[in-house]
Amino acid sequence: MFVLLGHHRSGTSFVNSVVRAHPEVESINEPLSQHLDAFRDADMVVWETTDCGSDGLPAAIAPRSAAADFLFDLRRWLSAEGASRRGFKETCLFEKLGWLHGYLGVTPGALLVRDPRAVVASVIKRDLDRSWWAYSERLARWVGAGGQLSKPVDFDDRVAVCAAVWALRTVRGLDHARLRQWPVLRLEDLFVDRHRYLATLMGQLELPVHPQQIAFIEESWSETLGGTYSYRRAPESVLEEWKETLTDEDRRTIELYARAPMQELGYL
Amino acid sequence: MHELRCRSLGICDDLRAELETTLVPLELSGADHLVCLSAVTVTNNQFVRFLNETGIANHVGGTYLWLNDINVNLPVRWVDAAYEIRAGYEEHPVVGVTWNGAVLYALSLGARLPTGAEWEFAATTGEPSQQYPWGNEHPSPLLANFGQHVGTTTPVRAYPPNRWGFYDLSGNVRQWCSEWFEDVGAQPIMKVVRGGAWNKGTEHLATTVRHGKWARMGSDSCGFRLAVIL
Repeated sequence: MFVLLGHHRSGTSFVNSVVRAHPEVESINEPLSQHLDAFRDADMVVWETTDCGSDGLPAAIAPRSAAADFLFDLRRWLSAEGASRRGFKETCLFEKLGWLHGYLGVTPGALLVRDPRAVVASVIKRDLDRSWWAYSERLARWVGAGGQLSKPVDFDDRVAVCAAVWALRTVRGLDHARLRQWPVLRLEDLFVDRHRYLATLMGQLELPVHPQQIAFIEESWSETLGGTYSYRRAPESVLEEWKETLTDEDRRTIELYARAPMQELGYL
Repeated sequence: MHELRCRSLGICDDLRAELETTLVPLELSGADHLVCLSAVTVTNNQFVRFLNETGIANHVGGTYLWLNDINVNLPVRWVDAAYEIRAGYEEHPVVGVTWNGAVLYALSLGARLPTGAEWEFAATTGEPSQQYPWGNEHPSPLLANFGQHVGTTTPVRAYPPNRWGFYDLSGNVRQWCSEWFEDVGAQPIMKVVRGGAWNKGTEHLATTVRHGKWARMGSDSCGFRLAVIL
C-alpha cells in the first residue's frame, strides 16, 4: 500500500491520476476527508497513536460505527493481496500521520508540494479558505488547542492565514518525510522533467514508469479544460497564473509566514 | 427491503412507472426471459425523491451509507432535514452513490443492477467488435461527455443515444454493475463499473473497458442504470 500526501491546491488530484494511469496501480482520491465526518470535522486536529483505543481508532470515531467499519474496510482493501499496488491520496492527514502509521503500519508514500504562492493564490481565487475549508476557524482551533505558530496571525488576513496553514502542514509533512524516508516532490519539477519526477514517485511503489502515464500527462497538458479539480491544465496555467494575481504585499506576507519551508523546498 | 417497499409504496411505484417508460429490451440469445435495461441512468431528481420520501437513514455512524453527503463538491446536499439538489443538476445522473445505494434503489423498484455482460451487450448493440456505443468512430466531445471537455456531468439525454436507444453508455458517469470485480480472499470488496465519465479520458470509453471500484465509495463520476426482468 502507499499514501500520497499533499496540501490543498497542490496538484495532488492530478498526480494521483497520473499514478493510477499505471495499469498495475489503484489509488483512491481522498477516501478519508471526502467520506468520513471525523476527518472533515477534525481537520487541523492532531491524532496520535497514543490517543487511540486498542482498535487503533481515535476518540472521534466510535467503535463499531459505520465510520469504523469504513476504515476497517479501507485497510482491508489496501492490504488485499492482488496484482495491483493500492493506495490513496489525501490532503487532510498532516496532523494525523502518527495515527495513520499506527493504523496502517509503516507505509511507503510521498509528500507532494507546490510553491505556496501558487497554492495561496489558487485557494483565495476560489474562496475555498472561507467556504469549504474554513482556514481561519481551523487555525484558531489549532492555536486554541495549544498549537504553536512561528508568528502571530491576524485571522482576518486571508493571505496570512493561508500561508500559515500551508507552513504548519508542510513543516509536519517534511518532518514525516524525513522520518519515513518519503520523497518530497515539487509539482513544478514534474513540468521540468516528468520522467525523473515519475521515476522517483513510482520507485516508492516499486514499479517502473508506464507509457500510459506519460500519455496521460501529455493529454492533460494539451489544453486547459474543466473546473476546479480538472486534470486538464496547460503548463503555463499551473506555473504562471498565480504570478498575475498576487500583489507584492501578498508575496511578502506569504514569505513571512512560510519562509523556512519555502527555503527548504527551494522556493526562496 | 420488503418493509421499505410497503411503507413507501407511493414513491417506489412512481419511480417504477418512470423506469418502465425508459426500458429497452435486450435480445439475449438463449435466454428464457426478457431482460430490459433503462435507456438512461438514474437522475439526481429520482434518487433524492427516493431518499426524501422513504425517509431512509443515509448518514449514520459518522459516514454515509447510500449517497455521499460529505463531499461538498457533489450536487446533492443535506439541508434543513432533507436532501437538496444544486440548481440545474436535477436531470443529471446521480453521482456519489454507493453500490449498496444503487442496489437499495433498484430492489425497492423491483429492479436490479445490470451485469457487466448485459451492460456490454447494450453498449455494443450486440456487435462484439463495436468499439464504442456509437460505433467505431474515435471519441469526440460531440459524441459523449468525457475528458473534462464539459467539466461536470450533463443531463442524461444530452448526447445522442446508441442504435438501440441507450444514452451515456460511455461517458457522463461510470455505472455500477451487479457482480464482484475481484476474487481476493473470502471477502471481496470491489464491484464492476463500466463506461467512461465526464472526468475520465478516452481510454475509459471503449465498450470492453471494465474496472473495479470499492463498493462503499460514492464518488463524483459513478452512477447507475437499472435492469428489469420481464
